[in-house]
Amino acid sequence: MEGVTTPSNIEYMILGYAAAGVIMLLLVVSMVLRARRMRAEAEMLEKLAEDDKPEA
Amino acid sequence: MAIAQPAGEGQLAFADLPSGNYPLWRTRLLYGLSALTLVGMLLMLYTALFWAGTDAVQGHAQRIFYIHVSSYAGGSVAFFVTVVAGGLYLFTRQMKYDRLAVASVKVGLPLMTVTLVTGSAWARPIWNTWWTADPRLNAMAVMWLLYAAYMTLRGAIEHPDRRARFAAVYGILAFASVVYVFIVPRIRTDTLHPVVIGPSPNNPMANGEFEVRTDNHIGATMGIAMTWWCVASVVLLWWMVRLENAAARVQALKMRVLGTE
Repeated sequence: MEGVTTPSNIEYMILGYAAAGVIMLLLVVSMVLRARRMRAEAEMLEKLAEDDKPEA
Repeated sequence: MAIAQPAGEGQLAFADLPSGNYPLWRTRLLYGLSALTLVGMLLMLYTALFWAGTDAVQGHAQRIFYIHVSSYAGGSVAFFVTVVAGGLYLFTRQMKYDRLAVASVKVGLPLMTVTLVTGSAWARPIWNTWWTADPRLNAMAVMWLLYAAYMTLRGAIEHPDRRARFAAVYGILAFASVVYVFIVPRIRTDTLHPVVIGPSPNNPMANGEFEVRTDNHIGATMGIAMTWWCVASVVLLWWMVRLENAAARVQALKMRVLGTE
């Protein structure tokens, strides 16, 4: 485009992409950690439920 | 010792919950889609950062739009699922739809956060401010707060059935804010915010702010980004639903161990 000076603002592009990356990473990491916690809790509760069963 | 509520209407019934043993083909499909999403992310980033030409007027800051606009599209897909799940819950009263609704908000909210944050990073070099009292920006902030409040208010209601009913109605009504955010720059002239796709009252002859269909790979890049964020939204939602199912199962197990089921 004639007569137009393209601004130099790549740092804001990097900032935007980095911020989006951090948010998405936090979402995925929080999901993985929650899944692990759920699995551990479920295993513990199932064991407790087994232990509570009256013996035949 | 913790005192659990007695089981009543809408209480989690252990037998009604998914066992966590999903059909193998479904799990394989989910893993396949997740892998495809990761590969697609690389393609999306390559097209957005290198393949598409640099906008002559806005410079590299314009590339933020590839994730700013499309993360909104992905978030809208998730929030639309909230509406459908809410309607299905009100119609059937099955708790699986409530779990789908809450999972969709848990996915949609971070995606809309990406939209907000990237918009701010774009506004600083282009408008010389991180934030301004613009109708589009205000509408977006209100929408974000509405869905954040959804999560807070859900946590404040203890009875599962009442909570699910409230959340279903709230989720359906809150979607009006998503629609409003989309249409506000298309109906109002007092907004600075550009319309990226299609004409606007401020620019009626344009195909969109960056002439997305014709100019320098911009249209194709935007299409790839939109597709990626929508697919990523669905994949994340699928995982999140499994997490919600697991959480409900753990809750029901707790009740069983405490002898209150």
